[in-house]
Amino acid sequence: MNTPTPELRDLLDRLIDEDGLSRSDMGRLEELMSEPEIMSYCCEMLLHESLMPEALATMETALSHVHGDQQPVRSGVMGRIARILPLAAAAGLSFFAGLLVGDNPSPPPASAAAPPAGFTTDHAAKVTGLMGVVWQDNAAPTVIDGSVNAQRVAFKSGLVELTYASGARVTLEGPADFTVSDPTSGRLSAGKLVAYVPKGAEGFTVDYGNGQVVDLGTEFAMDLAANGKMELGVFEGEVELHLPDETPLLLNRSQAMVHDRNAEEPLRPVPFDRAKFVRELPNRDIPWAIKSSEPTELELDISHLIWKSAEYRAIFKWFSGKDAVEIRHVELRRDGELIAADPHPGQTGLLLHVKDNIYDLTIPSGYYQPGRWTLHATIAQLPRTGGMTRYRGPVDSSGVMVLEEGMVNRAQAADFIGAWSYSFAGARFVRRFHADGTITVTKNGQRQPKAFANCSWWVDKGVLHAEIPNGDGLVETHILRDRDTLIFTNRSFGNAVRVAEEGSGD
Amino acid sequence: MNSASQHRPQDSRQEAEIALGIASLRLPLRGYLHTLVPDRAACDDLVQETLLFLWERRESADESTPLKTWAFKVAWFKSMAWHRDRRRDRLVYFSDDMLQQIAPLAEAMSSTAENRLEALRHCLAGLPEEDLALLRLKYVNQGSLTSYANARGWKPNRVQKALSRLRLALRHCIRTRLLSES
Repeated sequence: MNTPTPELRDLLDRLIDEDGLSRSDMGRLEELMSEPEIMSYCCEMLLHESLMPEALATMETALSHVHGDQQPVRSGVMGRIARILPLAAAAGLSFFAGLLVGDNPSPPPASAAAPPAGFTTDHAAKVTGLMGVVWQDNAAPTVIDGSVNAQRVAFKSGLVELTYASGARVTLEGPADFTVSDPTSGRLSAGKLVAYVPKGAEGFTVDYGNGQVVDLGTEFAMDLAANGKMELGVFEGEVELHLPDETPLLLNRSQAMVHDRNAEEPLRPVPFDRAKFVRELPNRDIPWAIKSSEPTELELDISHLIWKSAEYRAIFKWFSGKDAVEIRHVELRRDGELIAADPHPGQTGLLLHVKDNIYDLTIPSGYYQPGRWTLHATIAQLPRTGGMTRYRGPVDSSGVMVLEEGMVNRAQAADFIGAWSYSFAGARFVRRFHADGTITVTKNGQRQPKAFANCSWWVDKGVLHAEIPNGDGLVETHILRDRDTLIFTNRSFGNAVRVAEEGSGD
Repeated sequence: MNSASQHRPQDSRQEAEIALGIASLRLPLRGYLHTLVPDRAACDDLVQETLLFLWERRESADESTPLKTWAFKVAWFKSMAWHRDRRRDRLVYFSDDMLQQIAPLAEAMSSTAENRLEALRHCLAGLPEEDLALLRLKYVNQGSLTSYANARGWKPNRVQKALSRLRLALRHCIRTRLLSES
């Protein structure tokens, strides 16, 4: 039924708004509902009514600030992320400072280098991960000495990870507002939080206005609604819920409790809905592999990496296997619909074979919608050359597709200058990009004078190119995920992290 | 290691799975119960009571009956009990006969609650701020619609008409979105 009659509409509206009808009106409505179509219409409208409070409440803090196509984070999407999270974020602490400007519709001043009054950096937590974050106005963390210290993070959508000096890690899902109070505590003003507290950091406390959650060595979740209702659940270990003038309440693994001081029953046990919380930032590196000489159609689910309209770059990195591969027809689709494409052919494999393996995929403003986002590509074995022509083994090539946005497009030469640490074959390397265009390298703390001797580096369209000694024009290429994470786009090395110039231990 | 401690991890895993299964029924149950019970606060209470009932009796559950089937049966009886206690009210809700007829339809439709919630959020995001303010007042803050009308110099029924218009518009938007997704 497309349009209800005025009579039906009036009866149903009154039934909803007044929680009932007079006997005669109800008799009439039931008479109308003898038509299956009308019965179905009524059920549908009543179902929508039941969803309205939750739909509004979960977008409550975000809606008044929604800009353009940016939508509030959806629990369904987040639930899916929580189920598919296989790995932690990249090894080590990665600071996502580079996203602070680009992701904020109202960017903070670039010169915001001074911490807020009354805030000292020695008790700061650091922002150790960001994904798809849209900050609330003037609420982006402050960049201090090249890393991101946070006193307060308030954001409309996306994920923010904070790490305390004690090792306690807080993952927030927007819309959320969280303040770092001191080295052992924080205050949640709105949103969802998962706190992981390692051994030695027990006692970590989260204040939520109407009470406090005190950790006893565990992982727990909180969901604080705009009306003050707080849901607390325990993934592992134990927590105590402290309420004013009450004996602390102990919650064990898998237990959950709702605290709503305005409710008739302020404390209620509830089943713990684990799936609605994000426990870690999603992994950005999506594996691919081919085992056949026939071209392989790849379909990679990247829904958890797509949060907004933006200029994304997909990088196909090779990690292992005998073969190099050709990549064609790279497309980005939402629920099967083509949104962006970069048809240029590229190659990946050992450095010698890597060519044009970075693909530009832009989701135009207004085209972002939650849904199943997939990256499609055709991958085929490249003909074996040189010594490999004698190799008769099966086709074997595998690697990862890395999807980036933000700093990957904006990086300037100045952003790369500094020391970058990475591991390879059991050794620790530090590579330094100097302002004069030269490169120096140390291996396990020992200077390697021949490495990159007389070679230069330069940046073009956000990509750093580094000449390789006697490489016949071969270059290494790098991009920045953020201010502190360097990605090797054509070498099978893990990511490098920025290290301090002084006392880096290399 | 004694036998009790050997079984404990398995039990706790099972308990976690049961808790998760029960929690996943919250939205469908609310959709179902809201069709059977008009009072929103009462509906929320019944959802909570149903979930707690399932949790507290998890060990006596009949393993041959799917959790969802059991949950909707419990919710049905709870809604009937609620109606029984309301018989003398001036306003009435659906008769028992009608409730019997619409319950299966409501149960079937509730399986789409998650998708509809997503669609509804999207549709709400496209509304003007003024409409959102009205919806938030009614559904989130539960404030006075009369005061809202007075503050704008409106007649009270203009607010009701605005709500009615929004309901229809949102239904259309949700259906369009679900159709495009399918």
